[in-house]
Amino acid sequence: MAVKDVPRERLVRCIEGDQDAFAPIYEQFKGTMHTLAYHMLGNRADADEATQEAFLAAWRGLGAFRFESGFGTWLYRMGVNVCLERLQREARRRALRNGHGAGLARAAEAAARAEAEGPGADVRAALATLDPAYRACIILRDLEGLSYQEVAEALGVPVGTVRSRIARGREALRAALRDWEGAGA
Amino acid sequence: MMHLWVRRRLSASLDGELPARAMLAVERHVARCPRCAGRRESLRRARAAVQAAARSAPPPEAWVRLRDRMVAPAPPATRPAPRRRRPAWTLAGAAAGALAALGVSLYLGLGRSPSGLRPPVAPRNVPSFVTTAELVDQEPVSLSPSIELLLVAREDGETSAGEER
Repeated sequence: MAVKDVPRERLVRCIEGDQDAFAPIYEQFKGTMHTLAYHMLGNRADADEATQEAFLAAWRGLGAFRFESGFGTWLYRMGVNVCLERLQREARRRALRNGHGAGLARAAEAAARAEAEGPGADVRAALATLDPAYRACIILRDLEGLSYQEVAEALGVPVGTVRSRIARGREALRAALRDWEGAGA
Repeated sequence: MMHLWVRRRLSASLDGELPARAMLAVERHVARCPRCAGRRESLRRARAAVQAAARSAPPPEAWVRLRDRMVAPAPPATRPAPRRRRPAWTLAGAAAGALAALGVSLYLGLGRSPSGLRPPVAPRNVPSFVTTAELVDQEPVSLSPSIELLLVAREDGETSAGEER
């Protein structure tokens, strides 16, 4: 599945401030953006907020969009950045409160929050144990179906970096899922 | 060695994201290596689990909320608070104070040696009570041979340049 794109004329209308032109873009991407945020952050409330922030950032930043790249990958980058910023803010807050070992606590809590919510919780909990940079690559590739090249464009990193992050992320995911199955048995 | 090379590429081979030659090498190895084949199978299962993970969507009222926020003006970028300008007279006062301090120190240092302060130590081979101008006119004292050579060379250069003119 390639990244969905948006007609140029619609984007131009949005840049000119036409909010009605932004509505179909929101409709087109709301699912993918929310799914990305949901699996990046591990719970629905944070995903709702992050999705809003990402679309708002896109609306306000459209003037800086260059038409050489695809709008979809640009929007994904907004979404990933918003999620990473939220995770960093959370980590800083936790570090101030707990001192060292905050990273582990964050991962554990993210896993715990993911566990609590409905079907597919094992996958969300396993994803929550990954480094956020690996998690972003895995989600964009396996859940959104982007090619390595598109993931690289969305994250602003070389394709080789994407390849190694996906490989390492999947190895960690494999181990986490095995632990989960072991614990559940 | 081959195992390590292949393992690093198992994940990309699942996605078909390897160059053709590397892909072929991985496939050949996996066909005869049960350990690497098993590893790739477990990676495939991990990938399938993520692919099957639930998709989600924002609540229906989210668009209305977003639209309201789009209409609202963007919050100003956070900047450090501007520094308060000091009135001109404080700068003038500071400058006058600095000048006065300089004048007093010059007066005390050159003219007198107040009790409690150590008198300035005269350099070796230089008679005491000499002015700065006299110090400049004096020959340098005990220069190292290399510096002397440099000075000689410079003087020679200046002389020859003068002669050319």
